[in-house]
Amino acid sequence: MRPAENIENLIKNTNIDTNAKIDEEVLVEVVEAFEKSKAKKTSATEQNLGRIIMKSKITKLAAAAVIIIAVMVGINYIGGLPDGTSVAFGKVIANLRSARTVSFTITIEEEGQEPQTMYCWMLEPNHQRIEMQDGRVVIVDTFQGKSISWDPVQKKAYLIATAIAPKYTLNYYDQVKKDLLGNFPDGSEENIGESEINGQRVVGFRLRHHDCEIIVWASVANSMPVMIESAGVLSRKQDKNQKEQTTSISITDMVIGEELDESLFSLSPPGGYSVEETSEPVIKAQQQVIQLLSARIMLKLARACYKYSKEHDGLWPENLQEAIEYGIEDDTLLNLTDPESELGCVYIRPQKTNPRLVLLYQAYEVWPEGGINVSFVDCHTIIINDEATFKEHLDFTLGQQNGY
Amino acid sequence: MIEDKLLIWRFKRGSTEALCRIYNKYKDNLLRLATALLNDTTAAEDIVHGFFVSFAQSPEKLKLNGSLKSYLATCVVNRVRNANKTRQRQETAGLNEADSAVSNLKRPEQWIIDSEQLRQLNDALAQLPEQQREVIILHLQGAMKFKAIAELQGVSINTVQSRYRYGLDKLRSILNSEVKL
Repeated sequence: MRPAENIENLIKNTNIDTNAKIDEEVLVEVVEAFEKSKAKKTSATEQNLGRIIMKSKITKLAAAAVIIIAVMVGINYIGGLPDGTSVAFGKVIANLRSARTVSFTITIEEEGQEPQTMYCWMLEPNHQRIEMQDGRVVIVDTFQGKSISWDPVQKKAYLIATAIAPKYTLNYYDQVKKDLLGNFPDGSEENIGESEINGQRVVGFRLRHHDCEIIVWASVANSMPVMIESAGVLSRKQDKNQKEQTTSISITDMVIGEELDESLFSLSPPGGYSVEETSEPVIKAQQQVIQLLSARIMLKLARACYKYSKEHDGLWPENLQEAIEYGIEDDTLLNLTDPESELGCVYIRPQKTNPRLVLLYQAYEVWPEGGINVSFVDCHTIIINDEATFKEHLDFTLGQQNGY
Repeated sequence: MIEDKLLIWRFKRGSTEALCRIYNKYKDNLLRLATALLNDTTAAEDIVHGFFVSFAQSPEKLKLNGSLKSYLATCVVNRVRNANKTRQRQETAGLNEADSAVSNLKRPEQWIIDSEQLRQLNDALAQLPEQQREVIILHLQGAMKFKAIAELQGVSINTVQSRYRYGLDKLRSILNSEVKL
């Protein structure tokens, strides 16, 4: 008698062959039906993005910058170089890395919210300009520690002091590029073949990292990235009642290495604008950037400890100093929220390898408004927003460590 | 799968490329599923064809709670059920002879290329009670969880698991007896 698994595998693995000609005919009909349905939509149904942006929670321009960085940093988390393609992914990333300038259009959609589109220009090492569809503009200069945003409707500009952390920690574009070819974990890149974008032949690379997937489309002619699409869970659920939200981000019209006039990044508003100095709007956004960078540092620390345990028969380092030869660099030990003080996270030496155990957490005296970063034994690193949830994780970890 | 979320996102925003990818990614699976449920390749082709056209016409209606794969499988199963009901009505009305005469005719070209393995398996599956067959096919070919199948069939998860177990036992014995022959 055949074992049940054999029957199951037989059903699962029975392939079907199809007639390619009929396949093509059906697809043509399906596409025609799709095109017709698109044509039926009236302009009345199109979304008024300007209005949506005004209403949306994430319309603060500074927050938009954070999301862009999240995407760019996301690329950093993804690994290896794929084989078997005439366009090497490494070359694509190298082009992005060596670029002095990059400009692109970014469309962001969070579940339950309408999509938003912004136009971005970045000039190495620390200039960034973002324009919203309603005409509002933000320009960031991290060396000067200042940014300016203006609203063409109100003819009002806000000059904002951004120096709330060491300058280089906010020089995120440069930092992202620096890391792009370094410290890649095992990747799952996949060459998804060629396609065409705006008349340009492109090849796609699918990259995965935990709950995030990114597809990078690069020009066949010059290996320059043309489009980046990503979908993933940027904000994890904090408890079982909360639903994880998927954020989809599409970066299109990428132009790399184009000469950008420095006047684009001037911190002076156009003529006729009144200027108000403030620091309120971006502090939160910058704290989020710092938290993101801090999470990346914790991820590196966690990986170093994990690597140590692999080479020591499952024994984890006594302390972080012991793991220093396993991928901890000088800047990894920096406390971003307070550079003058000691390492800002607490290490709990695992007694067993259970992915639910807390390995590292950001030290705190008073629970921070934006929550803390927590790394687990399997190295995944998340931001936990509420203290009660963190305490549950911590109690579970300590309970396991104590053998009950 | 995150890739599917991306595909849906792009499809809902009018990407023909995304639609083509969904079609190419899942059409074989849906054809296999419909064929196994109906044991009739011609009817299965019509159902999958019709489903994809309708799917393409109303992207805005697409609202997923689970995976895209199981969503598509559920849609096809619903169409198969409707087709079965129509067939039963026709049989009751005495129209089946003419109808089956037409469907048994080989069309000049067919979408599915029959293979011996597929035919044998489908013949064996066809000998199972409909509900058991549906559970096995949806679970193994449609990658649907027992919970989702239970919701679809309107029964408890235990009933679904029993149907799955009994179905597999029966299938095993059918296939074994064929081997002996």
